[in-house]
Formats: sequence, structure tokens, C-alpha cells
Amino acid sequence: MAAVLTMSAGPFPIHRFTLSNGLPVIYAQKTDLSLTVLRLVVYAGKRDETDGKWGLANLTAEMLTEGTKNRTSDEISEEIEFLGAQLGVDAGIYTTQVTLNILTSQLEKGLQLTSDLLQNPTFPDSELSKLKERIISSLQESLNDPDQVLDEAFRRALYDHHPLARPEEGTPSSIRALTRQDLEAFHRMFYSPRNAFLAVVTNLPQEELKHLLEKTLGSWKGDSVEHRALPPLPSHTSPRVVLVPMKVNQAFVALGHYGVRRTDPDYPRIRLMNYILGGGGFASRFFRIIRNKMGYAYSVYGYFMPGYKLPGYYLAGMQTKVETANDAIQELIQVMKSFQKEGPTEDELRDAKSFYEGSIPRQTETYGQILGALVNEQLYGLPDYYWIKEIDLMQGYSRKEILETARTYLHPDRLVLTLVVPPDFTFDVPSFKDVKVEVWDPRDLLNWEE
Amino acid sequence: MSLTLVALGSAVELNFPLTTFTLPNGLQVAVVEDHANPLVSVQLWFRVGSRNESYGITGISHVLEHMMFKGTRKMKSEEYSQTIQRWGGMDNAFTSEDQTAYFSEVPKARLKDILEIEYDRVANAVFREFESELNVVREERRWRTENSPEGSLYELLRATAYIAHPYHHPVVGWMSDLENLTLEDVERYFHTYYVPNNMILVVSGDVTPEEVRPLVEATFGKLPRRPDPPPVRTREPEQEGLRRVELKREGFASYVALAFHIPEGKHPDLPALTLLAHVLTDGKSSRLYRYLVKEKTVAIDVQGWVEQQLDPGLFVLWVAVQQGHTPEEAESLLFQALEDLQNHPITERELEKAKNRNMANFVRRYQSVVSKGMLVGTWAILDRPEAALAWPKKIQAVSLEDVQRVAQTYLLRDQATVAILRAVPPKDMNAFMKKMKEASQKRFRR
Repeated sequence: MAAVLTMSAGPFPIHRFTLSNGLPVIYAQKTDLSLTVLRLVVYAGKRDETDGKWGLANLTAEMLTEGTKNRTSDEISEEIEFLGAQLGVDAGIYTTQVTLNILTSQLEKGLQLTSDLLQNPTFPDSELSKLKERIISSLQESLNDPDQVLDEAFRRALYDHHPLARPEEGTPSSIRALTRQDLEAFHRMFYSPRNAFLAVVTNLPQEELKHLLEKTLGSWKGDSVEHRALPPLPSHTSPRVVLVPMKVNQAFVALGHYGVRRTDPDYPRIRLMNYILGGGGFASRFFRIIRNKMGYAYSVYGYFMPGYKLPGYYLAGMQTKVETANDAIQELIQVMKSFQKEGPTEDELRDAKSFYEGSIPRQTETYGQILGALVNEQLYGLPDYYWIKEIDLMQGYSRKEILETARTYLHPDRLVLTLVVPPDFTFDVPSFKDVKVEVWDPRDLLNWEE
Repeated sequence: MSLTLVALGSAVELNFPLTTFTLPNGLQVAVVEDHANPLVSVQLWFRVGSRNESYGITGISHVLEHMMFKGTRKMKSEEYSQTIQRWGGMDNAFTSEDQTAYFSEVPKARLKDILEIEYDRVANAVFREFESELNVVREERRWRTENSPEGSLYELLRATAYIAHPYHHPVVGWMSDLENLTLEDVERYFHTYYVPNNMILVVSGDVTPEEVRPLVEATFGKLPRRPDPPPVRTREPEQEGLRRVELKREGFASYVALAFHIPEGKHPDLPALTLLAHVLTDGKSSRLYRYLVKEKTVAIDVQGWVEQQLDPGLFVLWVAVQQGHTPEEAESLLFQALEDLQNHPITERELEKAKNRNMANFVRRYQSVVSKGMLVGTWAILDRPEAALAWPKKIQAVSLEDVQRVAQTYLLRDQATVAILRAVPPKDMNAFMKKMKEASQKRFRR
């Protein structure tokens, strides 16, 4: 085993405490800059949407900055921007995340504003109708971008009509149907300090931070919330091929299948395995064979996107010349298959372990990186310094174990393959010779039926 | 050297000690100390980019960048990156109009090793797998430019704003040049521009100048000085009258882009132009966002930036048009807002906000050893390494009058290039799809 864990306290101390209103806080002090980054994670996402109100979590989040009992939309943006701060809001499957990046000298003002947004949003109709149109417009504009179309098509081909495939923004018609009352009800239901946590990286010492948080966020009150469980994923036993025609002069390729949850004990060995196959950039087999040997693509990659309550997915992708796209796809699958047969070489495994071990100091270099690590710890219930502990675990895996991991978690025999291609493209990949090809109109990606 | 920024009335201390020296062969070296983490970033900056290219060889600087990963007399193709990854590090490179930069980040203990392999890479380069790498570059062009509506529009905007100066050419090169470049072209280009007297080496991280210097002397110090590369002669003639260009694309999104000529990157008007870009487009409280997005609802987003370059650059405004509106509506509102700016100067508060944002961004942005090195390298190309640390003070010193003056001097209608991306609805999706289905059915009958 590598001796990376000899620093028993980790690279910086991690503290946890709870505010008087029940909001859990995870915190690390970093003193080289007078800077604070924090993220409030509220358990409210698209899984909490019901009755066809698709896009409600996202719209509620986006509307937080569009007016409160004390401030208009313009006053909010003026105030936060004058402070030189960045305030971002993002709603996903399970959570809504409010991120504040601010000079510590302005933290109190930034927190007061954040507190107002959380507690007193008014979701004014005038701003609501404008924002809805902007979201709908950008949904339509996303159909211009083959990368985004591919992403959307892959998710739908993989998850079918399961809510995980539903666009987080909703659809033009579902967004239009949402009302201020819907947003108020969603906010009332889910935005509560007992249904959230806060992660902070700052130069302030703990007592000072606690005092400031109590003073600004302490008045935020609310109870814990029950969430409904998502239905299980539809089963996938056979391959699927979906073509989406667009005016492009390359084939945009995504192929993959279900993956694992972030908390899966095999996750570290899956990462190690995937580094060698497709995740390790210049060092990966995909890159060496598809880009360097064959010159098929500029970018070729594979990754496991871990899930939270449900398994995530594995995705391998590239953009490649239309004329040889069928060959490039076949080759990519061949690389997966031979990896499953022979596993990594001794050199590949040694290099991958050595990469992860040497990369430890690069993982927490900035305030933002540390914040990301704290959020992962808290959200997934991972141990302190999990990013070091997982790398320590990796050092122990044998070639045989990585080979078994490839055999267990890669499924080249039941791939979901999605392609964005020009309309004159003829699909002809031997691995899929008996699979019926579906052709999707990209405009249908703006609709949703569950 | 410690850098004190004043933002929002408080001083923010940035520890940014910078030491520079020049070797007898002309190599400039800049060392940035940052002892927060046991890491070091080594960066090779060459004063060459698409600015140095001419018809027939456009894109060659970028192709050469790709070829620099193809090994040396000692190392196999891609062995360089694989070695760095084995150390737990990362590396990459980029080419722009004015420069080609190679950068890495590795554990500090590898300082000597990384300098050795970086030196080997320049001293003993062997360009293997040229044809296949040229394929890769063509795929990169298709992906980043041709299949990206915004990438295509940007290419057209620059090609229209510049008619004589090589900034006319896209960095990635025109496709027909990428189809015809030869290995001999690339080798000749390499020998002309990759000389120590045309290079800056930046070492940033948990190091001291005292330990870096002998290591650099023992490696890069061995490169022989060569003739200075030829200067770029062509200058852009003055623009007389508005230029307009349009790109039609099947799709769903329209854009309007505006470009105005501004002076070279080290010109004293650049700080004021930078703050003007903040005032106009930085954030939801910026002038153009409020006017076009929130008040008139003709746009879903507005962006603006200053292209700070070795030769005279551009001030760019970029608008994503909202569905149901035309690019012309957005364009006319943009010009109205700019005219309004000539008559209604920005306020004290707008200027202060712009400065606050610029300073806070500076603090946020230069946290890692890679980004600190990048900042110094960028300025070494534009002016000199130390200019990186002088910039925040220049921003602080900008007055209301300065901003007003640069707005009146540079953002003139007659100096503008307007580029429109007009989305036309896909003609016949059903015929498309029918054809595709038939094609994919056929294969079963074989």
C-alpha cells in the first residue's frame, strides 16, 4: 500500500457543525486568499416534480434571483455584481445548488442577500413570464448544437421514459403552464434548512464563520421533508441504435449503458479501470488507438458518471469523419471487447496507479476544488478525505481484479448507441447488424411523455 | 513581490513573487513562486501563432503544436504526455493568434525531470505520424468551427473585420490548407520559430529562482541562438464605413456579433476598454443585458470582450437572439445603446462596479500554479512578464473620462463589422428522415 495516508489529519482540517435552525455545515479553512466560496445544497430537484409540472425545480431555482419582499430583480443583480461576487443557481435531479464566490470582506453582505433569496422570494409574474420565454428560447437554440443534441438523445435512448431522461428545464409547453402559485408551493415545500446543507471554504476561523452564518441564515426556518422515490430504471438487455439527422459534416457518437452509484464500493476500481480504457486522456487505450493510431477523431473519451439514488451511466464518445464513422465505432467497441478479454498490461496498471497517487495535491489546489470535494463528502456520505482514501485503495488492485471489473461493469453486448449524423449517412456497424435502427427527429427532443 | 489589490475598499494581498532573467542564447525565463502546494508548472511560450501565417500554410502553427507531442530522438510518440501522467501530472497546449504555449503541472519533486523532457522535446523533436495527425486536426476544425454555428460566425466576423492583416485567418486554418500542408512545411516552420530567442520559459509553483536557474541553464541553455524570426509586416488599413456579413444556417438560433477595431494589447487605452466591456455586458445588471434581454426581450444573452493582442485587436459584442425576434431588431438596439453611451456617460457607480468585478475576478482566477504561470506567459508575449502585475494598478487608475473617451473613440458605427447568423428552419425534415430510414433498412437485405 502506498503511504499517502500517513498525514493522519489530511491536507487541511474538515469541520462539521449545525446551525441553530438545523442547517448542517461542512467547512474547511484555507488562508492564502481573503476569499470565500460556499454552496448551499437544497434537496429539491426534478425527482420532486409531479403532475406534469416539468421544469418546476429549475424554474423555482432560477426565479430566486428575480425578486424578493425586499429587493427587485434589478436590485439583486446590481447588489451582488457590485460586490464583485458570483452567485450561481443550478437545479439537477436531486438537488438545487446555490453557489456564492465572494471576497471575504463582503461575505456578510453576500450572506444577507442569499438569506433574503432563500426566505423571501416573490416570483413576480412580470419576471416569471420573461424568464420562461428565455428558457424556452434557449431550449430551442440547443437544437443547433450537435453536442447538446447528442447528449439529450443519449439520455433518452438510455433511460427511455424514466424521469431521469426528462430534461431538467422541462418542455416548452410544461414551462408555459407553470404558475407563480406552483413556484410558491414548491418553494414552501422544499426550501428548508432541515432539507439542505451548506459547504464553505474560507479564510475565516470557525467561530467567526459560525457567528456570521447564525447572524445571516439563522432566521431561515423549516422542517425536514419526505421525498418520493424514483421508479426503478427500465431494464436493458439488448442493444439499441438511434440516429438523429442534423446538418453536420461529422458523426457525433455516444455509446454506453447503465453504470453505478457514487457510493458503490467498487467505484474506485471502476475509475482505475476506466482510466486505462478511456478516461486517462493521452494514456488511455481509446486515445492511443482511435486518435493516434487511426486518426479517426480529435477527441475520444469514456467515463462513468456515477448516480446518487439510482445507478448512473457509462458513456464513450467521439466526433469523427462521416466517411469512416462506421469503422471508427466498430473499432471503439473492439477496443472495449479486447480490454475485457485481456485486461490491463502490467505497465498500464502501474502507470494508472502512479497517476492517481501523484495527482493528489492537484485535486485540492483551489478554493473551488476543495468546495467540490466537501459537497461530494456531504452529499454522498463519503468519509473525510475520501479522494485520498480512494486513491489509497486503488494502489492495492491487481491486474486480475481490474480485468474482473472490466468484465462486470462494461457491457459491449448491450450498448445504447446514439449518433448525430448528416441525413445521407448510412449506418453499417457489424456489432449492431441485427439491431433495428431508430431515426429521431431532433425537434421531438423538446417534447416529453412519461 | 507581493501584490496588493484594492477591492471594495479593502486590500487583498496576493503573494505573487516574480523573478525574470535572460540566458545568453536569448531565452527569457520567468519564475513565479507559490509554495502553497508541492506542485510546479513548466510552460513553454513561443512568439508564433496564426499571426505569422500566410495563404497556403494557414493553421500551420496549430498543426506544429500537435506534432510536438509526437516524440523525440529518445521518446516515442505521445510518450511525453504518458510520462507526465505517470507522475500524476497533466499537460496540454494551445495555439492562438500571437502565441503557441505548452504547459504542464507536476509534483514539485519532478522539477528536474520535467525540465529535461521539455528540453528534449524542443531540442530533439521528431515529427512522426504526420498524415494521421493532420486527420485529427481536420476533425478538430470540423468539430469546433464548421459544426458549431457560433464558431462559424466568429470565423466570419474576424475574416471580415481584418482584410489585410493575418488576423484575418482562423487559428485552426482554412480547410484546403489543412488538406495540403506538408511535413516539410512544418519542419521549416519549426526551425524558423522554435528558437530560444523567440521563446519564454515560465516556471511557476513551489520553487525558487535559485534552484530553477541552474536546471534551466543545464537544459534550455544548450539550445543555440538562431536568427530572429521574420517580423510580421502587414498592417490593417483603417476601416472606412460599416461592414456587414451574413451567414445562413439551417437551425434554430440566430446571433448578431459586432466587432470594433481597438489598439494593440499594451496600449494605454486597453484598461479603459476592459472596464467598458464590464459595464456593457458583464452580468445581469450590465447595460446591454438590462436593455436587450430584460427590457426589450429581443435577446436571451449578451456577451462582450476585449481581444487583447500583439497587433491591434477587437472589441466584440455577441448577442443570442430570442425566438420570435430578428437579428436586425437586436442589431438596431445594440447601436442605440452604444449611441446612448456616447451621450449618457457611465456613472461613478458603474465604473466602481466594473473595477470591483475585475479585481475580484483577478483574485479568483489566479489561484493555481498553472493559471499564475499563464498570466505571466500571456503578458510576456504581449509586453513583458512584469506587466502582469502592473495591470491591476492600471485598472484601478481608470477614470470616468477615460471610459467615455474610449467609447467615443473606438465604438463607432463606421468602424463596426456586423456579422449575422440567420437561422433558417430545416427545409424538409420528413424527407430527411424517410431517406435515412430507408438507407438503414437496406442493409438487412444484403
